[in-house]
Amino acid sequence: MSAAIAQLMENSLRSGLLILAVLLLRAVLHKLPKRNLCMLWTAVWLRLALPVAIRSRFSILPNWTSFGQTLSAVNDGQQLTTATASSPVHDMDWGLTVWIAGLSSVLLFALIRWLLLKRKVREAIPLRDRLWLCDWVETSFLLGLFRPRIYLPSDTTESDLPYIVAHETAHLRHGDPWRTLAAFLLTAIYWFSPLVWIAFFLYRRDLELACDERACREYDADRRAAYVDALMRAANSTRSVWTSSLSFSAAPVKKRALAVLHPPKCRRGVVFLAAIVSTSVLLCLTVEPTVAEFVPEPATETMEEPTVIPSADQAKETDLIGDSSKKEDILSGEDTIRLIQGEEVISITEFISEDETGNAYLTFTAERTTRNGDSITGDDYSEIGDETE
Amino acid sequence: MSELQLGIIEAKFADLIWEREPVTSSELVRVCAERFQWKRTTTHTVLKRLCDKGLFENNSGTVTAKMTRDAFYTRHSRQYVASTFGGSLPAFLTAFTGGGRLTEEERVELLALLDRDGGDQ
Repeated sequence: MSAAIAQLMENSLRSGLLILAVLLLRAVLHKLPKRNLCMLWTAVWLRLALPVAIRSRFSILPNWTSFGQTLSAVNDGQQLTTATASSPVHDMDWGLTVWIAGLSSVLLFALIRWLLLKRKVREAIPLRDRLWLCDWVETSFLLGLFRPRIYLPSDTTESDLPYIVAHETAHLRHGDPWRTLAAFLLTAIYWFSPLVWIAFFLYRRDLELACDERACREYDADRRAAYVDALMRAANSTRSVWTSSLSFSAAPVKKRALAVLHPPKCRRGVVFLAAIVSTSVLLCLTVEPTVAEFVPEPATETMEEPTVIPSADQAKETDLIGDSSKKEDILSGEDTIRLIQGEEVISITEFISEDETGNAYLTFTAERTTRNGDSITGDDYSEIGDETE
Repeated sequence: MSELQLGIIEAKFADLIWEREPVTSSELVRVCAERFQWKRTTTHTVLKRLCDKGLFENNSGTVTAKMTRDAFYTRHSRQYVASTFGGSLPAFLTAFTGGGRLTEEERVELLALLDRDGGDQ
């Protein structure tokens, strides 16, 4: 599996936790203005868009990076077996292939839906400003990113018009067409994660509620009632398009009607407090533990059979035996090789030392111990090699 | 010929033709582009659809009407009453007046109509 896909999966884990947290916060903080709740979702989308790990020692999260590495290892293992069995042509990165297939399907589906919608509104006629009437649309919606148009069913009641326009204009003020598109693209990239899909649907619902809120901000009870009337009339069809259209009657109508008619009051202080709590929670779930730097251990080799290495006794008989008094300051780091044969461990250490005359010596010491580190019979420390540089 | 229902915009388009017929299709395209901001292909698509419904005829670029506007709306209403009120005119009238009373004007007009029709039959 390519590193990119492993990272993607890793990031979806990170975000999954965040999404669950936002779901919880949303439920708890439902009295807050919806506009603020949308900010929680923005945190999720940012998390998905930037697969950067924020690390700190103070973290309550497990280590996601190991998961990614495990996945890579599994897939690499698979690749190795298939590669040896057959020709290199079959050496495919399955993870990447499946992901691309999924992504293409999602994007294609959305593209087709968008094209069908554009075809539907071909016969629309302009009413005024950016309002258009069309025979074939069941509900009013916003379509287009750069010069968005508001399409209305041709039989829209005249009196409903100002409310529909207020709602759709609120969408424009918030920049919702762009937000929805960005969220959709991220959802397509993380198509394999059900939590991301849930986040996407709920995000759009919250955007709708936020727009109702904004449109009805200045309305008194009568106008709010009229708004709800318009909403009800528009709610026959709840067809929604995933890309850049935002329909007037998406999201459960009952909930929206209640929200408009009985707007929850919320004091400034509470909002502030909620913001602090939310930020803390999200931060806690974002910060990951620092991963120890992978430093290759000084070569430790475990072998079935030990290689030929002169024992301490034998070493004494060679010409290489030097004088232990030559060992002075150790100038360079030590390298230790441990050879294990049964219960016996032979540790050979190599280092460079210098005597008072400034000559450098490459020195080897050998130590025979049991596995536990206990030394064996007296021959614990002897020099077996000593070369003059 | 079965479906004589028109959408509101289709009806506006049909009115355009009835006002001007006989008219060339290119002239029609120009008017639609101006009023509706329709593309040429769109105008042709809608025109074809209405021709298929039996309202108009497009003979090598000239559009003519196969039935007058009144004739169309008569059939249209008849079809509506047939499908919605099982063909019963009284039922339709009851629904139309909303169970309330007719104004004096409406009564007079209605009686005159009934007399005339009664006389014809």
